[in-house]
Amino acid sequence: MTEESQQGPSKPLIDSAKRMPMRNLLALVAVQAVGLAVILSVSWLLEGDLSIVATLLVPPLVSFVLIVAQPQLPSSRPLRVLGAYALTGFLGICLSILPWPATILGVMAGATALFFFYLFGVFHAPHLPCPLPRSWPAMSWQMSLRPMAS
Amino acid sequence: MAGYVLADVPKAYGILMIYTVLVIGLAIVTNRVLGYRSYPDKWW
Repeated sequence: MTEESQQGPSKPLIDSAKRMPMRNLLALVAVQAVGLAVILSVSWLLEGDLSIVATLLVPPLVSFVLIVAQPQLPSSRPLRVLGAYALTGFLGICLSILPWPATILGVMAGATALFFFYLFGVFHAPHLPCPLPRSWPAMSWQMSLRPMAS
Repeated sequence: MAGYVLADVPKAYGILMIYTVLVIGLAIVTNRVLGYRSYPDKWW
């Protein structure tokens, strides 16, 4: 009988991760909420008559949360994030002006996003949602956030 | 069908870059406020 079988079909798992103290957790959420409010306020100022702003807004919101939550990761370093947004944002926006179906553009955007994810090790790429205005032409940023809240 | 047109590209790209700089700036400030002064440990 092996040692493993003597222990039974299941072993108790010990989670060695340290939990964040509640006070620190509340401070983190509060400060991040202020940051999100600033980004949303800037979006409101930039939106004007451009419905495309809605699809440009979601990736920065996600990136902000990820960077603050895991600042020690190499992918959170400022110039990597800036480089990823500069390159893949340009590609995504250029893809979006092609007169092809949104599904095809979305798949192409996803594939190029994955390529640059793995090539540069930067897990922030904003251009996947860029082709979406073709599908949701009248979407405002409030509508774009609705799926995130549900 | 509405969507991006060529004339939208410069403005859309500019807006995206504004967001990016804003996100990085806010992340640095947020980490300072929370006491994580090591961010950014490295810029690249």
